[in-house]
Amino acid sequence: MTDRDAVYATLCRLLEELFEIDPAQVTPETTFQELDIDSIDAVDLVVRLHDLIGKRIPPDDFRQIRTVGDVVDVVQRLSRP
Amino acid sequence: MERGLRFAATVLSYLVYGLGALLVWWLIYPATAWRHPPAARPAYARRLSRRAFRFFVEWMRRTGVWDFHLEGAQRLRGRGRVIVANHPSFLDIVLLFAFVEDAVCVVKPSLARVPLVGRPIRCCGHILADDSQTLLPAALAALRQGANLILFPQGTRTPPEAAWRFQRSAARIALETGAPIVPVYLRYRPLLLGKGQSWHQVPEYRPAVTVTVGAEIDPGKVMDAGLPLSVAARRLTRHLERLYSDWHERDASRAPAGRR
Repeated sequence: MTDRDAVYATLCRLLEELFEIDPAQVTPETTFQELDIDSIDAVDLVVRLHDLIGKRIPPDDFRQIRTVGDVVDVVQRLSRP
Repeated sequence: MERGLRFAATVLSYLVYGLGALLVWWLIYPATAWRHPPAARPAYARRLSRRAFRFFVEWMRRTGVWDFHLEGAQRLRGRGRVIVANHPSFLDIVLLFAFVEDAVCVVKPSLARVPLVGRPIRCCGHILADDSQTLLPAALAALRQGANLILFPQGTRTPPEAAWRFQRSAARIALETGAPIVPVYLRYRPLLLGKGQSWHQVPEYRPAVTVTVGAEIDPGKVMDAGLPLSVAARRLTRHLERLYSDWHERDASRAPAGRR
């Protein structure tokens, strides 16, 4: 999963599945606050991302995340060999 | 005149609260807790705390600071349940601690550093809401031991007229444990010690508080089993928000003009 669009699409699908968020509402600039995703939700999301990329998201990276685009960046960086 | 007396009674109540806290947590508890094995001490502290709060709410009633009325008291009896309440005033927790048996409350972490408050929080094993990753396991453990978990899903004191926006942790905890939710609606007329009100503001007339205990909500019956937890928690939270907004509307339409 290194293709940016593919990662983004996967993330949108996860958001819909986990939080009933309409993908049409989401852009890379959308913040998690705007999507009303709280800290417990974020834990769910991290667990699912971990299953997908097979790598743990370091807590420091996790804390930096504000927008949907930030998650795409982190996932891409972690997926690089 | 009446208002002046009520001011005096209010100031006296703060004194009674402070002295009572000193007496219970710096004298009675340390002198008696040793008779209980360490694992049983938080539950013992909670029994002590409940007795002290019962005395205190009754004291404030007898001295005319307020009057309160509990509707549906029998619904509060029981253990291992998630009790949610709206949070208009500082006194909400005083009432709930007086009425709810074996109550563990999820509290703002900053309260642990408040003099006279931090110590009972630690003795009773109340849960500091500082991190959702530690909140969930602590809440599950308390419920499993049969304690009742008190949560204010508004997070902090909120004016009664504000929109109903709940945090999802209460729903989440209930869904994960299968513990029933008992919704409690608190109404102050007029409001006392609400957000932005200072301790020495004594209302024009004596506040009447109604504590309404709603019917138990079984999370498993409200939610389909197949839903992901995150979706179920969202829906259950909306269900609770609707319940409180209905309560509030019914209440507002019942209120006599000018006494809202």
